[in-house]
Amino acid sequence: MYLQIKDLSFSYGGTAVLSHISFSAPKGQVVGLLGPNGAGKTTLLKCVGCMLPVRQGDILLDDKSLLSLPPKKRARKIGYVPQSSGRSMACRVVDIIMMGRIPYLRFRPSSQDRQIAFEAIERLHLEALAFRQFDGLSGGERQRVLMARAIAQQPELLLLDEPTSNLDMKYQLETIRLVRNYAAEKQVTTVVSIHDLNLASILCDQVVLFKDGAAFAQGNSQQVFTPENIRQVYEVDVDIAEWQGRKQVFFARL
Amino acid sequence: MKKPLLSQHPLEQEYSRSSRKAVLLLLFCSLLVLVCGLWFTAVGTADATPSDIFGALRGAFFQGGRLENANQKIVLLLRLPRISLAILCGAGLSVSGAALQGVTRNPLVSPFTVGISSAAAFGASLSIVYGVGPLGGTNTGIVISAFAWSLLCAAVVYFIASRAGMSPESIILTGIATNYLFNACDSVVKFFANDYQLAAAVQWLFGSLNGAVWPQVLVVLLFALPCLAGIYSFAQPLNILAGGDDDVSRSLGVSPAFVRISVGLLSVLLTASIISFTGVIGFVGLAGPHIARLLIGSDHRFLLPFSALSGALLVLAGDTIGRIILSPVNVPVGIVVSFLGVPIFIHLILKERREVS
Repeated sequence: MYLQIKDLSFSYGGTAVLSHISFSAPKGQVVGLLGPNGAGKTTLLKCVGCMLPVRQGDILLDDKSLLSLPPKKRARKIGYVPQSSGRSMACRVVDIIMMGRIPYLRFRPSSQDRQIAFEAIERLHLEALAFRQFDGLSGGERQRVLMARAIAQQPELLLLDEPTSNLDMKYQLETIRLVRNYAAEKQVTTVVSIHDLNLASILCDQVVLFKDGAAFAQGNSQQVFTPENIRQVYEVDVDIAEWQGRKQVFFARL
Repeated sequence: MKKPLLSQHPLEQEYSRSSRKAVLLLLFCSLLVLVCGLWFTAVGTADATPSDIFGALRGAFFQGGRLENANQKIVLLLRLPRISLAILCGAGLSVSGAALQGVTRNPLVSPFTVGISSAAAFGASLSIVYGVGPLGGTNTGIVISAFAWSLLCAAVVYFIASRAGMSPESIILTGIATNYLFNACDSVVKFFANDYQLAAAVQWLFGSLNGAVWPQVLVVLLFALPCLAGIYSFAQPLNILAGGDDDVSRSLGVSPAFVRISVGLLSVLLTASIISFTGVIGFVGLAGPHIARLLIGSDHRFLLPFSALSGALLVLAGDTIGRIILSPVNVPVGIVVSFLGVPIFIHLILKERREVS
């Protein structure tokens, strides 16, 4: 297995937020983190990216622990796309995407760094916005810019925090297509926290369903998405139907 | 991982063109500051002609300090050090403001938010009133005391803020608290001062470039140049820190605490070295960066140099107006800068609003 999370626990000031999480994924697989608000999805994502100080458990990439790597080396392996930046910044989009090259350079981006950033711009169809100011963009456009920055990092592991939450249907689907294609094409293992179960069943090869900081169920969406699991985790009654080979979730009653 | 380079990406052309435009604008503004500096040198109670200025410069650099007339002496020994100190002071305070706004992600922060100015004022008052500290009461003694106390204040802010995890809020709140503390200390000293001492202590607070001499310029330069270069080397980390949350900068391999401590330390040193000589020149550190930001955007690779220029211009203009407006009385530059900066500042804010709506 390429990515291995081993018995990871985390607590904020004495309160346990994550307890004994383990899962693993081969190269190029998309793992979805699901669960109600406050179940620990984002915390896990930040632990995997070593943005929070992990003291219990281990995170292995290619059998090497990420925890002992120096920050700059680690930044060349892991790309992180935050939920969506509320901060406005009067910076050109191209410069923000170029920041993804920072783990690789001293001060000025080389022509190769620029080339890689431009390719990321193309992949996300941001050519028309490249020289616009970031703070003038819509939420969906900002999301794509942040995604392009993470891709410019050329990561081996991509972490996405609710990449579809602020998008309309068209961009939700486009984001999912993009993440799937990118993961498959570049063989980048991807971990996504996501709220929408139906989108998750399209996007993810494997899902981990969280309840109170622990993994309640994990496997592929066929195994995990059962009315019983969802009732226990979300306290909602649902019906599950199969539609074109995918599990789809419907509200059973209002 | 390495790929062969394609000939040239279509975006490359526009990228280098728009970068070139910013560099040209930067050169133009530097030239503007230089020209203003020379022009303002000519202005004053004794009007010097351009030939006096060039004569003085030629005399100083090429003829071993031989000067032809009194005007040239005025230019070389009174005006030029003052103009140089104005440029250094404006640039330094403005850059330090831009840097601190970046690390705290707060556009309301200026070098004085972290309490340095009131600590420096306290130090100056101590020296003026009680003659405390080395060379107490002399001009040099005041400078040393102001400098020492502002660094002490920075150390206090650092130790408290680092215990709270070096978050932007902890830095700002600790800064505001120490500001009040040193204000109170300063007031105590002033309360027990006699009229003459009180006048001198209050005068110090106005912030002025009166009596600037070359050795002062040299000392400030010695501190300012490394600090400015040091801050500029953090331009990209500042971009990351200002534009996202701390997790984003960690994910890009940049430690937020390290950047905050380094940039904070350099900014404090820069500010302290300047205001120890000039007194409190307040508004530049806030207005300079904002003027620059509205001109060029918030990319620190350009924001920092433009802040230096806008701050330099603001103090230069403020000091020159202060010298001539009630001549022969010199109105302290700290006062004029606020009168000058506030309308510009408000105009820019309103202009920005209109463009948005």
